Amino acid sequence: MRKLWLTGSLFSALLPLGAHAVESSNLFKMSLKDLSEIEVTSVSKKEQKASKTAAAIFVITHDDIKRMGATSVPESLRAAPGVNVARAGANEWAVSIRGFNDQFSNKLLVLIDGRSVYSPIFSGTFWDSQMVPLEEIERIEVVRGPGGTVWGANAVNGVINIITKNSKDTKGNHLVAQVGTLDGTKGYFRNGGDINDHTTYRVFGQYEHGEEVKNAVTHASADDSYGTQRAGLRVDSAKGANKWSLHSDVYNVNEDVNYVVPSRTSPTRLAPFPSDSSLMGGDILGRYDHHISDTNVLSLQGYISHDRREQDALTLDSTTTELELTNTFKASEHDEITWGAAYRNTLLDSESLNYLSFSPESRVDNLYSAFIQDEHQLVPNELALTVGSKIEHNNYSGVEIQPNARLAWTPTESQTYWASVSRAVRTPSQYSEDGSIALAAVPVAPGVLGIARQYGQRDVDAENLIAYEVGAKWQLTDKLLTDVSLFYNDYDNMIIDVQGAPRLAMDPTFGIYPEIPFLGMNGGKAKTYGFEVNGTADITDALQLTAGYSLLKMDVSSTSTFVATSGKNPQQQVSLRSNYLFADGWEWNNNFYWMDELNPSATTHINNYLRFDTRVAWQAMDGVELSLVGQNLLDDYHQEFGGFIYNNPVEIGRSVYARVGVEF
Amino acid sequence: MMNVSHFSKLSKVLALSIAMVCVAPALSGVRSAIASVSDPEALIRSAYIYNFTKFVEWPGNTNPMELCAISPNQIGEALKVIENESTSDRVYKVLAQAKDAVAPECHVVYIDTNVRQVGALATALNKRPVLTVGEGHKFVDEGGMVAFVKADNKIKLAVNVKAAESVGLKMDPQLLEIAVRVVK
Repeated sequence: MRKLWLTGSLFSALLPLGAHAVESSNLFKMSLKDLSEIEVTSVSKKEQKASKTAAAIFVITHDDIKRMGATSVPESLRAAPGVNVARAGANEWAVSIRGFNDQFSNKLLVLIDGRSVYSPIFSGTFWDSQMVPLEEIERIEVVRGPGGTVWGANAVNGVINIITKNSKDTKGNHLVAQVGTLDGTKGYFRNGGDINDHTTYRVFGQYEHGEEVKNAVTHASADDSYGTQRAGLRVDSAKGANKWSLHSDVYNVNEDVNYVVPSRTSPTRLAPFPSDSSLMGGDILGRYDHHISDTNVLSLQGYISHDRREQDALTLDSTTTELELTNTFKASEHDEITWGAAYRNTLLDSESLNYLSFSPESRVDNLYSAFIQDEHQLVPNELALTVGSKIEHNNYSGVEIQPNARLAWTPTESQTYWASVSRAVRTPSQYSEDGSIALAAVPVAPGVLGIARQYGQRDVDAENLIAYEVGAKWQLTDKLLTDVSLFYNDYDNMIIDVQGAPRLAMDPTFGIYPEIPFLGMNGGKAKTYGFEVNGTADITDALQLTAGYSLLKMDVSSTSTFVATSGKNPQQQVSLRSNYLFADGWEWNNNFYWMDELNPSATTHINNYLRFDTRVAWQAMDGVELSLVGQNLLDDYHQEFGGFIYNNPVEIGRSVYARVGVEF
Repeated sequence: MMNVSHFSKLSKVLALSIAMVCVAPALSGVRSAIASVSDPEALIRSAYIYNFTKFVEWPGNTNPMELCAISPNQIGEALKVIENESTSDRVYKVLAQAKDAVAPECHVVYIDTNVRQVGALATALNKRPVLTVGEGHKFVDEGGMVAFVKADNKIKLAVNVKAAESVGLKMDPQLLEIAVRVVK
């Protein structure tokens, strides 16, 4: 019945399996609980069920994260093909799937245990405030391609679902101490246990500190170190046909930020604006699943989350409340229907100076949605057609419809071919309706500097995408699994800047000045295409290799600061990871990532880079693991992204960290 | 699609990467006992039995931990894999021949369904602190302590706590928690 946990597991609608496909060599490390969940048929054919799914899915397990030596969620996403991860500061990342990478990659939906962390203010994810401790994570599911039918607006290019461990699997104490030269200086502690014979709990706390990276222009320190404190609770209960869970987290992040803002008085037209950021927030989520019968499951989920970002020039508050009902049942021998309905309320509030501001300063948004999807077996166990659609109403663009059709052909147990057509939308955000930002000081006449300012516009439509995908997955032998997916994406109605008539403006920051407004309106078009290949091979029982290659071509008809240019994404990406058990209790991991060059604007060029990370881990005794990780070992410094707005571009250097993990 | 400079850089990267990962295996021998066991179900049972040794408490000495099987089938071979899991704190010894099953030092005895009079054997063993492991609900009904039962294509457990306690074995609550049936 794992198949039916809809929001608990991202693709459950699409993907019956996931984490429980195992290699036999790991059986002895598995818990009793995990052993009891293995499907006997899937043991010898790894990921057989994932290979039957009609979508481009990649699962990053807890072990993968450890073996990569990753120190944060965005860093661990480097493992997934088709995902572009670019570090833009000590605590800043731009992450995208199949293009349009930017500070706020607005076409990618990110969820933590079914809770959306896609910011309704800017469209995109504030990664710096969403750093789930890696020890908490069971797996990260990455879907490339639209997920709008089930997940709603903004799941345009893909969905990332971060799934934390069930407290049933984290009983006892776990202490982690880590010290590093860049990231990864942290202390983490968790305690878990039984509340009664069918209910378990876990509480955790984490402190983390990150050192600054370098300014890519001056090669001096970017002065952007940060510190975070996080705590959380999870309770899980399962008895008979009922199952419920409660999740709660609180966080506090302090970052040094050194903005560079437009200036009408400085000869460089830029002025430094150091500002400390203080981010804080919390959430509480409850979920209840009831098995009406073996083939009929009802789920109810609700959450409230609050996030606050406080800076010298801008303070933002957002509070989201959501209630969602989903139901999956077998309508006939050949039809499995999943449907759901949800209501979301968002309260947004801001306080700002004249660089980035909102008018009005606050707003209340309501979102109503419903979806239905039918998985129909045309030929049982061989040919399945899944059709469905989501319909939603939001108070930015009104009614949005996001249909999808998928065909999966599984001629044999070891091969699957699939094709899909879907429509997805990216709805306007608070910023694209009510926001404005001073882009630059520009000369308007000899000796006179004006300000170019971008304005969001009311009455813009949602951006939409029609996506065509095909893919194949082959289990070539018991030890070799490959999958390939091709896509062609056709975007329309993209929001672009349209220059308005210059006018005279006045505010306390810039004085009285000529302003050149740029209005964010629909009118952009883009086409992207490419493919991703991924292969996993067990070379021997002690050596596994995983390799991935992604190609992305972007043809963006009109570029503006609203639309990321094609040059912000690498055309090609390569990854190669190995896990080698070289002696009893010893593990050695090597991870290579090669990223193609970037040309974020006509005048800037960022070289391609090869990143090499290595990790050696030793299971010193039962429950005690020591590891040493080296990152970026091949070059002194490299730049990964062009820089966020008001931020200098940065470069990332070599780093090392040591980790001790004790379970008791 | 791919220009020349890209390609040469790419091939260097690949060559270097492959070199790095391929030297590694040459450095030492590879453990591969698991490779010889082809039956995944036997391996899962064996992994379960390995776990039982951690979630059951025996009176008296449990080092070495001796695992026995009255079994003509592959489980014996799969049990042998557990010996690889031996540490300095606990050495696992697997005695897979039928005659050894009743050896007094056995801590765990696995009784295959093909063995006749399973129940009688389990009852006979119940006079010593030996964890009896078998197949099917019938096994625990007849006085066996832990049985593998298949449900939804998964291997689940049925447990007879009463039988275990009667010979001084203590079962951890975690073991009872995942059992689909507990006889008290």
